[in-house]
Amino acid sequence: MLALSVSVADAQQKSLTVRYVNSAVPADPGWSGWETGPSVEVTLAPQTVAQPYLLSPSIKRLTVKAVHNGGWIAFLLAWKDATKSSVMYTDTFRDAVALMVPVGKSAPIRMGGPNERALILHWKADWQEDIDKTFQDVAQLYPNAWLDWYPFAPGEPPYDIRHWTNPEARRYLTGWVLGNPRSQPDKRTAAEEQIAEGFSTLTTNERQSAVGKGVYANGGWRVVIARPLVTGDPNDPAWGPGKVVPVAFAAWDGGEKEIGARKGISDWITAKLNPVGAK
Amino acid sequence: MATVKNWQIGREMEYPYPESRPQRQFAAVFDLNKCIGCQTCTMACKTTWTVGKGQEYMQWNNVESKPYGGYPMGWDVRILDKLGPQPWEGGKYAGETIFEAAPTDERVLGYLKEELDWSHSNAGEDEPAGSLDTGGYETMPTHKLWFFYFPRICMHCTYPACLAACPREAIYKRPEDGIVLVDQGRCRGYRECVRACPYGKVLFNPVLRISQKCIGCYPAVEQGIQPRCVTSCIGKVRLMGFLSTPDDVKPDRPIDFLVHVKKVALPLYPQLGLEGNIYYIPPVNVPKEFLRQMFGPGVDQAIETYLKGKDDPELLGLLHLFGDTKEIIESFKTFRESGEAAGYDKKEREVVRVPIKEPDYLRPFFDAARQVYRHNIS
Repeated sequence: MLALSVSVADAQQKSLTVRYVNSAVPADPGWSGWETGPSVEVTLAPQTVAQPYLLSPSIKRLTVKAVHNGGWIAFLLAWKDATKSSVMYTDTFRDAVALMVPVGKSAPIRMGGPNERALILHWKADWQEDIDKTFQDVAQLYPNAWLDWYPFAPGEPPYDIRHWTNPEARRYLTGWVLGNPRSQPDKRTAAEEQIAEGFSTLTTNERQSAVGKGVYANGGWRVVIARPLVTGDPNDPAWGPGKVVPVAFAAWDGGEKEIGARKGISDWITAKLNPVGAK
Repeated sequence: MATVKNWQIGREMEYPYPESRPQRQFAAVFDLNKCIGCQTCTMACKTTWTVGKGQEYMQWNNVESKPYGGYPMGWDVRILDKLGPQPWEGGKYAGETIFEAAPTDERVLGYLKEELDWSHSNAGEDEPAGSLDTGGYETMPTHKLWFFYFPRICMHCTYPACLAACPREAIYKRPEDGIVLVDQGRCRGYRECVRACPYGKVLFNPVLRISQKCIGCYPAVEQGIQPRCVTSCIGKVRLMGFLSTPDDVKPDRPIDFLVHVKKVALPLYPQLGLEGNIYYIPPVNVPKEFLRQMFGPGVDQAIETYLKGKDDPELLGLLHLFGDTKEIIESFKTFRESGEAAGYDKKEREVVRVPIKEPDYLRPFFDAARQVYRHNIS
């Protein structure tokens, strides 16, 4: 509770200025545009509303910057993490970060509420690994493993999952066949666009417009999550140049087995989008 | 938390969701006295359901040896240790279930199984407990030196811990048959279910990055066919059917008869509070102390009834219907005159009929027709 009250005070004091830039907004933490402009320190508090709680989040604060160019909005999220966690074995978890914006005028901080939908943009280190290297198939997860037979798989060992195109083999790729983005071997970006109307309702948005990229260096992550302000999707937030919207953040330290509800969360931060042309 | 009735522990208990029993409950009885650990069930399941990517290590059905085996390793002793010593008072459980013993920040008392826990599915195989002194001798029916094979699948619990723990509500229990499934489209791979299931029967697929589990062969069950692990069992150890609640017992329903009427088949670790629906006939060679911990206070009566089974035509008849048909037996009858047992499907059609005692044939030592002597073999 102490940490939560600190977070509320934090939010009241701070707001995030979303700078206007007259250029492309690349989803790249290395973009030179991030070197200038104001940042805000966002405190992450324990998640103690929906079980399982996370009583002591490993990541205590995020450094956040944001820009827009009238068409796109982008957030740079940076934090310290001594271990890069980007591979999911049966007992390991990946680092992740997310931001949430109400779809309507406002939404409860608990991932929205009934008819008070929230848009959640979620970057995941394992998806980044898939993009930076290659999809983490068995050959990547367990380089020394050898299986000489998958009865329905076409091709040759190590039977790359992307070759499993025949219906008999695809029966075993349940998540992929059902469109679960986690199971897709060819990832377009490392960010997932999601919607929620309260805890336990988190759903992948039908339309995926957000992009994300994270780079781990010098004992920390720098992640950019970007999205067009307006896509025509009914789940577009009411944001735009000159407007003020609440934004909330969450982060997960995979090395500490943080995932799902086991996360550090912020309160709403006021994000003020500068008008087009503003310096 | 809601208050629900769990008949296996003889009392009400706390569970995150209100009681909502299916129209019919998938259930099975495994006779541990007959299992020879051949793993035919494991292979039947493996070749049917888990030959995909990320499923290499998965055994939705496994057979381990007790006391030392376990897949995942130590699943039983780990959760018992976490729960600590807990009392029964007669047929009523006076201790805490894993829902009631959960710390305030969790829905279920559990732990995350480690990668290595899944890597030694045959550790402890055939290793007996105890030792015989020099010049010692075995005792009957309880052995001084003992082990037994322990076949396991998902328990398709009435109160699944996996379902209770999933914050994404991606796990559901089918109203038509009580089979518990992970929605493969909705699962986000958090592994709360893997932590929560005390039986270690939800597994994470690291390639698809979602959790998977035994699906009770529901495509077969929907057609009135028993699951692959049941029909493939060469020891005829298993019988799958549907189970009623104790206040609505149908004595001609095979699983009802074994679980509720004869009480010869017992729940597995009922004290955990999940009301699992795989029931076991306890092995008669194993010390009762060990069995009571596993199967609850009904062990002594179950073994007594089982050992007297040869004088109980109904029980004997039903035990003979194990493994004799792939059809789901909805009801059974025994016929004293003909010495037969028969099973019937949903439409009351006879799907199987077997002799309870096979007839003896005495054949002469010398076969005159073939001009050969017969050896003393069957």
